[in-house]
Amino acid sequence: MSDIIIDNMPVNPKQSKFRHIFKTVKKERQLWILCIPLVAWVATFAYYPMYGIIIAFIKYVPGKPFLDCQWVGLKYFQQFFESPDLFLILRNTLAISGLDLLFGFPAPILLAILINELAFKRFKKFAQTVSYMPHFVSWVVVSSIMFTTLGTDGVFNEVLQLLGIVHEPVAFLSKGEYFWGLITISNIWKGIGWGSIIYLSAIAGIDEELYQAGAVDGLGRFGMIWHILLPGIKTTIVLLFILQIGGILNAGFEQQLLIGNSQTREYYDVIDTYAYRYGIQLGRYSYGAAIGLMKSAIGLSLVLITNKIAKKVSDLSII
Amino acid sequence: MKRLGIMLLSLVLLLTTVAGCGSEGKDSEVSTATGSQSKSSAAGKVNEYGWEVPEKTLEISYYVGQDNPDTVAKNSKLISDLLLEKFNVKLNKIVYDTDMIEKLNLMLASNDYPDVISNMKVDEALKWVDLGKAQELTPLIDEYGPEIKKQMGDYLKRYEDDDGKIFNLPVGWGLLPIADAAAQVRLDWYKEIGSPEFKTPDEYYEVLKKLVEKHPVNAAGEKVYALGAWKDDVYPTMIPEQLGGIWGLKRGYKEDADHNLTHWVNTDEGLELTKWYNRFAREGLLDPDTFTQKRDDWGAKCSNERYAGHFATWWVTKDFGNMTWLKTKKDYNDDMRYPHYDIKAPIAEKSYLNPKSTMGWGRTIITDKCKNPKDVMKWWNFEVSDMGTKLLSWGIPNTETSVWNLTESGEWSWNQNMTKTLEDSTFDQAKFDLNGGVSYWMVMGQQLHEDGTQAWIDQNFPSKWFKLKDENLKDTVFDFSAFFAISLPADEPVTVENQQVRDIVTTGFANAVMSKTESECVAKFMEMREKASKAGLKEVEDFYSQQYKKNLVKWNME
Repeated sequence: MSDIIIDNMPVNPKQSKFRHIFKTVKKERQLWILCIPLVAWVATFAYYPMYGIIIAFIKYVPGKPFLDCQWVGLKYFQQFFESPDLFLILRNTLAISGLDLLFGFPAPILLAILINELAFKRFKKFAQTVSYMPHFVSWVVVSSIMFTTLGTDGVFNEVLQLLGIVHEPVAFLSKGEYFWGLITISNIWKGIGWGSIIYLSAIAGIDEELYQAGAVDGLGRFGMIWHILLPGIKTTIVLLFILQIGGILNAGFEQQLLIGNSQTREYYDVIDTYAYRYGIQLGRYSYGAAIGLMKSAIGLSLVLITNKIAKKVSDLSII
Repeated sequence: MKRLGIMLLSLVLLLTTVAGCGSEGKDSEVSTATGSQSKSSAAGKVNEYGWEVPEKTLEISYYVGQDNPDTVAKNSKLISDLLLEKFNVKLNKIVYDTDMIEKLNLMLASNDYPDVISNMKVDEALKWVDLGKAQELTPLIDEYGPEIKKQMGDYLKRYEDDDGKIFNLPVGWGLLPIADAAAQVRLDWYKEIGSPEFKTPDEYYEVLKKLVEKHPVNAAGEKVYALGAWKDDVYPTMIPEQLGGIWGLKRGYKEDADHNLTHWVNTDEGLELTKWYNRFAREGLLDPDTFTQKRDDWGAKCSNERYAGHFATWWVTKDFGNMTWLKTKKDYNDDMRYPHYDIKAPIAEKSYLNPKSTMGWGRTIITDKCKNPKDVMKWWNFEVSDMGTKLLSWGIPNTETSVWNLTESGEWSWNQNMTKTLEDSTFDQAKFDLNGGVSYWMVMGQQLHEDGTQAWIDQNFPSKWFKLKDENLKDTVFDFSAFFAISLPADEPVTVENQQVRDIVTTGFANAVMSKTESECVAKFMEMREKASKAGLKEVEDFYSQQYKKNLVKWNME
């Protein structure tokens, strides 16, 4: 092993690395002390409970110690992949998440750009505040709003009939084919304003001089957006895109249960609603845990893959 | 100084982070059934209710399931005060606004649960027994439960395990021979068309159609429907299960001479009832929101006079119909209600609209945390007695709003001012609830007592409409306890198959009913049958048949 010289003393590379870390920590000790609560929080609430993952591999009975429960290995994972509903719930999960990614992901970016372009400051602030409000409306209320609006006695049907577009009310909420569209629209409605906050702050961070330089070069409003604003927030967009890809198997839960019904089950049933019905409600916690673990593993893999692709394509990554 | 500030800030952050990690204090520990130190002046005496007042306060903590804690506290205040004052008994009823099964599992996992747990599903209670968390009740019943033995009689044996031991007792046990579900029509509208007799589903359909023709819209110009329903966890499967009674099915199953059970999806009767319901949808007589709206949405439409009829339990049309109109409509008259009628399909030998269970709707256990199970059993013994049933079902006596009075010498009588409101259907349920009736049921029965009284107050003074309902439907009521006692084992293939079938049937039935043509309806029904078969319907049928036959043999009901 070849030694290196530090402070005129020969040390091996392992020792050197350790010393380097120690020196850095010592130098940045105030920052590290500030971090202690957060590290403790993550260790206690995010890592310590992870030992519970074991219930995905045993036949868990609440109240029984883990070691007394029967070890079943990958039985519950196998059961999930052999479930007759597997294709249906995977299709629905990917379709709803895919639509969210396709329309729901760019929507806040578009809104942030539009708000940024508003010249009248008071209206800008008003529009911003109003756009956040749906985020605070619970799904229970959203489902009631949807029933009042889109039910057969709803306002939308009344308008369609008044305009002579339809003669009989359209059962929007009981047609499975409409469900993906409705859930995507409601997801966008609820999340667009809230999601735009991070982009607005990223836009605010762009150097004003770049716009001035752009104006000198003859860029119009669209040119400024295309050549200055969008490249300025590219890092944020890539970061959030990678994270959203990681959550592609989280297609929702409450909204499905509240807006969905027996007629639309074949379109609304996603992994989480399935895991709740067949795991929690049937008292099969191990099965629910196996599905959850599988989801997390796939999510993590997707984050890593997307991160690698993003790094290769645009030299931007989160890790 | 700056560094010191940062250090201080870090320390505060650290302390606030771990502030909640301390061990639980004694205050949060669940109390056990014990005698506390407070002594009663009436200790050792038998009070006017027939209860021997203990020297030390008997305190029982028991969990009952999901409910609104504020409502429970409000409704149990008066009776709670009376129990402490006259009985030296303190009952701590615990409810949470969360799902009971989830809560029970959390209790098990944390090993933190009260003396008594009531209202449990059978399989849940058996799980606690298997885990050794429930105390055996057999010797306690023998020694301290003579009233339980007397009141329950032969029913008690139904709760014995294979070794003849009892670990749980039911709440709501006994046969309540009243009809719940029936075909209903709006009476004043029915009279307008000359009250034509209807005995079959097709005749019922014709009557409802005529009612809608006569009243196509309500006062606000909104469309009126013949029938409608709502979505929730159980309702979509309840529709075919209840309707099936008209076609001779028992709670959705067809029983043959050997007691084999066939699911309605696998029967011709099932197809017929689906086609019958679909006819309403095809002709615009079924509310198109039947499978999408919530119960309250349905209720609002019912209150707004948008339904000519209803097919299900009587209490919803009472609550959203006549009881609402009584308070809100100036032109209210006694015919503005939905009476109940028995109908039977020609192919059915008999109508089985009202299957009843004598097994109660929940089970109660004494947990291993309870330090004084004999006192709990003594209390249960009082609860099921004639006087215990009166107090704990009808609420406190001797007030203006009490339905009954009790003298110091233990003589009881009805409060005529209140009981007549039951008979003329003006009974104020909200005021009655404040007296604490039904607040503290743990092992209560709903059987007829020796003195002719009954736990449910309205059954003691049925209105003429109630009497009419039960008269019209008396032949449709039958004891189906052997079926209702079946519980699906946790984490077994048949439980999963049952859920898969349930999902398929719920969706398939709704889609078949809402079909645009009869041929489309039949095609969707057949598709549902095929999917259900693939999902394990046969295995589910076999499981139910075996368990049903086993119970019939065990209880000598063959």
